[in-house]
Amino acid sequence: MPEATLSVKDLLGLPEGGFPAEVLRAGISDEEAKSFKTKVTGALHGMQMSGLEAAVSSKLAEVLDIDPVTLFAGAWERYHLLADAAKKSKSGETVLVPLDEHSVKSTLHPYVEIQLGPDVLRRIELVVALSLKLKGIVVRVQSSEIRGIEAGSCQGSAEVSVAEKSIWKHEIKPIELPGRIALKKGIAIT
Amino acid sequence: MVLCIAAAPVVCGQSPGKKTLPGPAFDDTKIINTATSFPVATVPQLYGMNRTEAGRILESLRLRAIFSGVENGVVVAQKPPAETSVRTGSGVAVILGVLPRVVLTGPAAPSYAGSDLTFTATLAPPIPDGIQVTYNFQWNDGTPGVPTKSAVVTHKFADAARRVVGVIVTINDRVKVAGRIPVDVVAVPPPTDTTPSDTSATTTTVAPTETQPTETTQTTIPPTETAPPATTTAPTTTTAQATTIPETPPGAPAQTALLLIGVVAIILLLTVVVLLVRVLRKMNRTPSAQAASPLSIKGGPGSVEVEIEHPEQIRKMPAVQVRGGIRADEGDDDA
Repeated sequence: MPEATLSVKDLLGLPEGGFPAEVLRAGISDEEAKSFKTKVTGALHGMQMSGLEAAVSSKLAEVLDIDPVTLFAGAWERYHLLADAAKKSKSGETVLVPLDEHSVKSTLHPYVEIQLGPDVLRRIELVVALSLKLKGIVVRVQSSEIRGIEAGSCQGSAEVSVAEKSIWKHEIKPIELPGRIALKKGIAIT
Repeated sequence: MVLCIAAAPVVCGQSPGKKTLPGPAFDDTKIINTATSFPVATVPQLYGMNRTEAGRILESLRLRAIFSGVENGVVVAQKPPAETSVRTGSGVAVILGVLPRVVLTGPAAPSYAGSDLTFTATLAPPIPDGIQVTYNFQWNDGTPGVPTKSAVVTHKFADAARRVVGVIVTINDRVKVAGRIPVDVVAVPPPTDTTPSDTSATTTTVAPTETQPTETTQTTIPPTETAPPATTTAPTTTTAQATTIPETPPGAPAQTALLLIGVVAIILLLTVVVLLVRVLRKMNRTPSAQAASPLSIKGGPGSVEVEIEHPEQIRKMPAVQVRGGIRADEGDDDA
């Protein structure tokens, strides 16, 4: 059975329950946390905070369901590493571009808002920092688009913080990219 | 004098020539309308047909179909209308669209068992005039459905139950559309008995007469039953007369009318109370079913920053290019 398609959420290596519960309490005082809890339980009678934590965690997981190749592509494009391959591929050629080992640092700023009617009760802004070492990468370029990763692996570390407080750290073990990347459509490069 | 009028109403001949007539002109005129010699066809009713059917029928009548509207629809309008006589070769505008739907409306709640309930079937959008429409209402209480031309019908349900009333509308004898509506038939609430029953007076035993001390008579006995005693003795006849007195007291019609008014007033009051209770329940239910301020959770990926360490060292090796194509056949070139 083939392994599931890789996403940023997978790179974070989060446990089954999703994000740690302190994501809701991080960056706010105990008083603010209590007020927030009162508002939520007042609006949703009988709902436990664990239910809300699960809902927030699920939303964050949804937000981070991003193909990591889009991050790599953004970095490669920034430094025009595939520009010549893109140009050549315009004439119909398939260009397989080997890349030497390199490190990509990527920082994402996902957010989750908890809204009660028109009022935003809480906006949680996270910082997801990925530091990935890419080894033996071969990129397939067709029609000026990245169409796949034919070889290579990635490894590194990931960290999630809220309000400058680290709530999750994870070491990413080497992951073979071929077979784990399923681009729904090509990523255009210039 | 003979006038000949061609297809266009233009005088094309005259006899005698320019001779001036003393009498009024055209007093002995014969007019020959040669326009009637053109072949004509009667436009058929096309409603409900699909494009192919309508086209085929018009073609068989040597009429030209001019279609417009929805490509895969059915005929919902036509011009000229059905039964119009037109010259063969004329164009008939045929508009294709979607079939109308049936909107079946029932009586306002509460619908009481045993009372006349009115149901109305409406076609939306309405169909053009002149098209035959038949309604067949299905009551789902064992009553057989009878086709009718009327879109408004009344029906009595014998028992209190939830009934789904349906209607099948047949348009132009070829298209059938259906609609239905659930009806909660409830039992008629028993009227509140606030006054002593006047009918008890009718069962009052009449005081026995001296002649027949053992005989008691009730007003419920038909007068014919008192006839045999009347033939025997006079006092019996008196008894018969006495029995009729309570049935028709002088103030009875007024009392009956008052009683009826009272019953109607009570029924109306109960209806209003039931409706009021329903409205209040609905008003109370709405906020409890849906929170005034629902909690929603939104999220987004936010911004992304990427950076590569020593990008200049990444591209050391040449890329592999894969080309493909179909080579031209040499034999074809020779040919």
